[in-house]
Amino acid sequence: MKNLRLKAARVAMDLSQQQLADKVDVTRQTISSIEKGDYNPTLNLCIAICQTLGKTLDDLFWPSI
Amino acid sequence: MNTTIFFTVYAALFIIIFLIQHYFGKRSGSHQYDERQTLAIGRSYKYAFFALIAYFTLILVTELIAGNELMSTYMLTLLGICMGVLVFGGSCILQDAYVAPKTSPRSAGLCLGCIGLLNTFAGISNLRNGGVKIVDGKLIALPANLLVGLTLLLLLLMFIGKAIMNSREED
Repeated sequence: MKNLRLKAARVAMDLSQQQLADKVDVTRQTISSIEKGDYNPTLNLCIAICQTLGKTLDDLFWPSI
Repeated sequence: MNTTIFFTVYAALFIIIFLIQHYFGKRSGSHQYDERQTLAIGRSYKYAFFALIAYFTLILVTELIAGNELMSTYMLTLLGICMGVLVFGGSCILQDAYVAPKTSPRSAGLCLGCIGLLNTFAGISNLRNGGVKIVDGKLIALPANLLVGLTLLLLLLMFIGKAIMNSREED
């Protein structure tokens, strides 16, 4: 399932995938995979992404009903 | 004497390329893979392991059916190792797990290309000096450098292809 909320939060902060990837020490392809729903990140990476984007885990990763 | 000088120069070049890539090939920090890449590397290792098992099983079956070997055990093993490296490296490249986040892709590709070309040239020169041995229609020996070089050049082609595909990918 695609993570559109992550993409929206990233775009809202005017960050490219590469810029976000550099901030959380992963490759651009990892961010791309998370946004596409191809990769399920660990809690550590989720927290790093949330801290970078100024969001909570619920905002970005809690499945919407 | 010539062979000793050749291999000394070859080893020195290899070490220089490795050191250049290791110390100047990173953007900042260490050459650590991220969590998705670590998983992909593990998966690739599994693919290479099973590919190698399938390869040796196929050879065993072929030998049992045909009754004779087409190549020496040395050649079969060498080909198997090259195939394993190709499967492992290829799978890592296809899953974007070949270059760590803080490693420069250009330097990684350059390193792969330099070592591949170095081995291919060494293999070709070995080939010219009678490096191929065929006894009773059975291939006994082929320069190991040539096989390793070609394997690395194939990986380089995959690496370049994947880099082109990634650059076309939308953000």
